Amino acid sequence: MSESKYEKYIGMKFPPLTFEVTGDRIRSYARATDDLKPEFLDEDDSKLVAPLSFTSVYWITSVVSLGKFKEEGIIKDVSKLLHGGQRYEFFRPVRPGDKLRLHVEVKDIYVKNNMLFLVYDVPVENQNGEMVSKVTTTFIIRPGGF
Amino acid sequence: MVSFDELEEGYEIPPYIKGPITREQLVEYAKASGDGNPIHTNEEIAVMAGLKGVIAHGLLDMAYLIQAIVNWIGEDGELKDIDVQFRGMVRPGDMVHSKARVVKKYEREGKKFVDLEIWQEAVTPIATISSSYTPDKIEPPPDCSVKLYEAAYRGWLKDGQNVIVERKKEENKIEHTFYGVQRSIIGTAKVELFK
Repeated sequence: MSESKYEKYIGMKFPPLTFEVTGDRIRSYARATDDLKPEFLDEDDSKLVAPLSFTSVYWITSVVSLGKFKEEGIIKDVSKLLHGGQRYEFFRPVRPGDKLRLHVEVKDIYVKNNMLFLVYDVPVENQNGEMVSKVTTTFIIRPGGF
Repeated sequence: MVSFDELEEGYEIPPYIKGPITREQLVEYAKASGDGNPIHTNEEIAVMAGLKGVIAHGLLDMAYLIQAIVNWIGEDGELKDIDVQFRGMVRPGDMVHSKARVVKKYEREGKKFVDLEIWQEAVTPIATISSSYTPDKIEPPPDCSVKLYEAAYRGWLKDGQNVIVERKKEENKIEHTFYGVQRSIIGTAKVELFK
């Protein structure tokens, strides 16, 4: 019974989000993650490439989509939210000047072991319409939070 | 060099160790990544959220795991896919050990792939004791290890976590350091190898 309340969200797509990659974002991220290869730190943006884990930086913009579930009363207490899992598929390098578009889609939403699981797919393309990466995220809302 | 033909199933990549995690680093990561959740940077809020203090960002821990794989392959291949579950919390003071093991290698459409089982261990120092070193007696006295075992349960470790002991000899002393170990991340990864 309670499952049907969630089913309608499966496949729901959010308006695309954009993220503009800058050299400064890449360099400061590489330093913060202690990933000190010259190609991640070069002061010349044209020689710079983002580390693969930089995916986390543009992905984080998609977290705003959780607001929708708060508005709709599906998530009642955000402090009960856990980051359960993260998958990255890498297709193309990311460089300064790239304008990324994130397409957030609800892949699955279900209750298991008294917790609410919310799974997002986020395919990411660049300004040329090429796929850069695909992120799959699992959020878990603990009992009392939904 | 990492070569497809020479790589055997069961091979474990060199351990990749980062840490100890510091609070300053979590503040820096929060800024650089755009993840402003205060449970990673503000002790009071972390405690109110039911944690025992600030915890590291799961994606920072995942970044170390990605580095471990990327640095191992070097120019010989590319990481294609990494899928992780966050299983345990990493706290300031912890060392983070990223590990991976080859579970399968195969060719598909003329390309060479390797599947990895990956995991990360958060290693928490619990206590260090020094005792006089005499060559015929390098084990700590039994009552002492019981005390240290209790120390492991100062609220930092959960049931099922392991305690490991490292012994260091220095001059006429021997130092026993006790660590708690838990798996903070488990997952899988796929790597393409060029040769």
